[in-house]
Amino acid sequence: MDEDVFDAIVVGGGFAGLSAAYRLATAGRSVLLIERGSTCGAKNLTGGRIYSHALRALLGDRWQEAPVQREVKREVLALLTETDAVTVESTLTSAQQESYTVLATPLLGWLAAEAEQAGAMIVTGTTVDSLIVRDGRVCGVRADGDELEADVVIDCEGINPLLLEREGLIRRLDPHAVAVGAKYVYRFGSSEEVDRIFGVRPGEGAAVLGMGAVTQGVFGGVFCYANTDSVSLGLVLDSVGWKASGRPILDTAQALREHPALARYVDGGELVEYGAHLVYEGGYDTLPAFSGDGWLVCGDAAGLCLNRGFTIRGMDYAVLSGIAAADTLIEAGPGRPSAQTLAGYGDRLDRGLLRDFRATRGAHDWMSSTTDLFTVYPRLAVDTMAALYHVGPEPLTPVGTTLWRAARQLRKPVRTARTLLKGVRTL
Amino acid sequence: MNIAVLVKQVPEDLGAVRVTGDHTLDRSTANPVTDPVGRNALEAAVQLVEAAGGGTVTAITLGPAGAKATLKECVSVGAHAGVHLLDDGVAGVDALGTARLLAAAVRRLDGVDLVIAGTRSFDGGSTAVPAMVAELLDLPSITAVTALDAEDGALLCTRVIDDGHERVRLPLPGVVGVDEYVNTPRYPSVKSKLAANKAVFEVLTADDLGVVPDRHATVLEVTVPPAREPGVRITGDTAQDTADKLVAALVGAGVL
Repeated sequence: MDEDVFDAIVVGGGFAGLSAAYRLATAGRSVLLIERGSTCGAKNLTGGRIYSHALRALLGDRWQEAPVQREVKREVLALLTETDAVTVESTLTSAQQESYTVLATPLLGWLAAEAEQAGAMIVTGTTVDSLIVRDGRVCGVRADGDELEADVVIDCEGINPLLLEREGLIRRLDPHAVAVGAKYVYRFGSSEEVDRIFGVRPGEGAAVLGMGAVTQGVFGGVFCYANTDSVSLGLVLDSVGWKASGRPILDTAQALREHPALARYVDGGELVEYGAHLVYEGGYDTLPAFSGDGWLVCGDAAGLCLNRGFTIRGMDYAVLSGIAAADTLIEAGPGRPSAQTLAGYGDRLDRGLLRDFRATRGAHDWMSSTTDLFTVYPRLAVDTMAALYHVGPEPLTPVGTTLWRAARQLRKPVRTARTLLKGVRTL
Repeated sequence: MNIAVLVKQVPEDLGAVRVTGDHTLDRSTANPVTDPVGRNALEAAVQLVEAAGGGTVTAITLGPAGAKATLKECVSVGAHAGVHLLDDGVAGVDALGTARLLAAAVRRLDGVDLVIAGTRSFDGGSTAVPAMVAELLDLPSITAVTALDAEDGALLCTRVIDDGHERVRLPLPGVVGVDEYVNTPRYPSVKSKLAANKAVFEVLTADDLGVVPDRHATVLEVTVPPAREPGVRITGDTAQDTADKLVAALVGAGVL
């Protein structure tokens, strides 16, 4: 092997990049992964929940050694008004090892060590400046004054794929397709304290997803996850709606931390981390080309993130796309694969994870245009429950009257039913 | 010219270090980085060897398993070899214990002409270790050096003193403590990082070095600086109103 030409150079040591590098190295390919953070994981931010099927697909049984936080057994969906909340709680112990709360940094650090162990070369603290393109073909990368050549460059640089954008190989990021996320991590003295706060058995995980007043009518949601001895609390806001609202995101984040239904999960904890990140929400119809001559794109860079309101998935798709990219190269055998061979990666995605994206076509548009979801419906739910539970000196209100009043709050019940039906279809 | 460089890992942010009940520091929450002045020491060594047209630079570090990253970093910017003093039994060792371990590690190397270290580390900052190492090795020493020029069999060292500069000729072999003004450390390239990734380092315990690092210093107390009072934002309806409130606040605080 020519020392200076790698089978593949992976740009970015997140879930997609490390998965591709691990897979390629395991198959005996020479792979160089370049990460700009001081370690893999240093620059990553996740809400905090991964679905284990992807880790299993990558690592087999060894995935169980991965440093995840807690297995999610309790799911809470919360409808929020400024002061109150109605929550729907599900205790799902039948799901075995399906989903875990995570902190990205330790998990990616571990995955990087696995990839290096498998033979991948990882260079951190280095930013790739540009792609080397000759005669329309991507042949490698330039970084810190060095030129590094490879048969294929796998771009896993995250939601803002500037390298591909600069070469005109990918569409520019459309603000309508991007949400902004912010997150706090609160640490507690012991894991028992977190057990108690979430009302779970020792070590069991819980996930809270909420919508309503906190985002002030902007399409978005809040999340709260129980980690081993910490709690992640954050929100995701539609960037266009947020910009139009003219509200500083810090104010919204503060409202989040102070909301009575959410503050109970972080009260008494020490704020140890906070961060913000873009979240791709463009959906199926905005996805870019997944490959070209000499390159593939995976994970967030490829827009592979899916928000259904009650689940937000990105990490598992990143892992799966990294696997698909690696398998495409492994199947192609040694040497420079043609653009046509690389297009097989898109076919793999098409047969795999893209089915989810096709099934939810239009969901994002439906949610962002149905602002009632974040204002009227939570208010309705809270008012109804408040009325049902209210006891005062005045004569009681029959249940039928309460429900009738609630229904009348919906100005156009038929249209509401239609809207909701449409939503159910897209989700 | 063969040079040994003493370099260690420090917390990137001292604010992230916690003081524990027994006066030790819990560094687990702080991101470890190579001591900035240690990078200057290494750069000085690499420049001297380059100027001499031959020789080796060996980086020596004392620290937990993660300190290997510092040795890798040293190799990526010019060190030829690295020695890792890795021994859980010596965690939290005092300055003299550290110096005895480091001196023993230097003694194992062949034909060391010069030992370079940072004068004042970013975390402990006792400035004691380089001089102690010199004493233990029975070598002349000079610290707080801001410039180095090689001469035949000696080093011309510039140091800043209260009323100017001082130039001191240090016969070799000797020990030099540099400060952060001595040079600007180079950055590694991708290829040099790749090469450093493949480097294998010698790992030694206190036992291997024949050193029993008994404690000579006892830390009586460790305190964190008191939290600063938050500032006050003064706003008024008009400029006049704001100014009045500001003056009142200044008078109230005893400033005016």
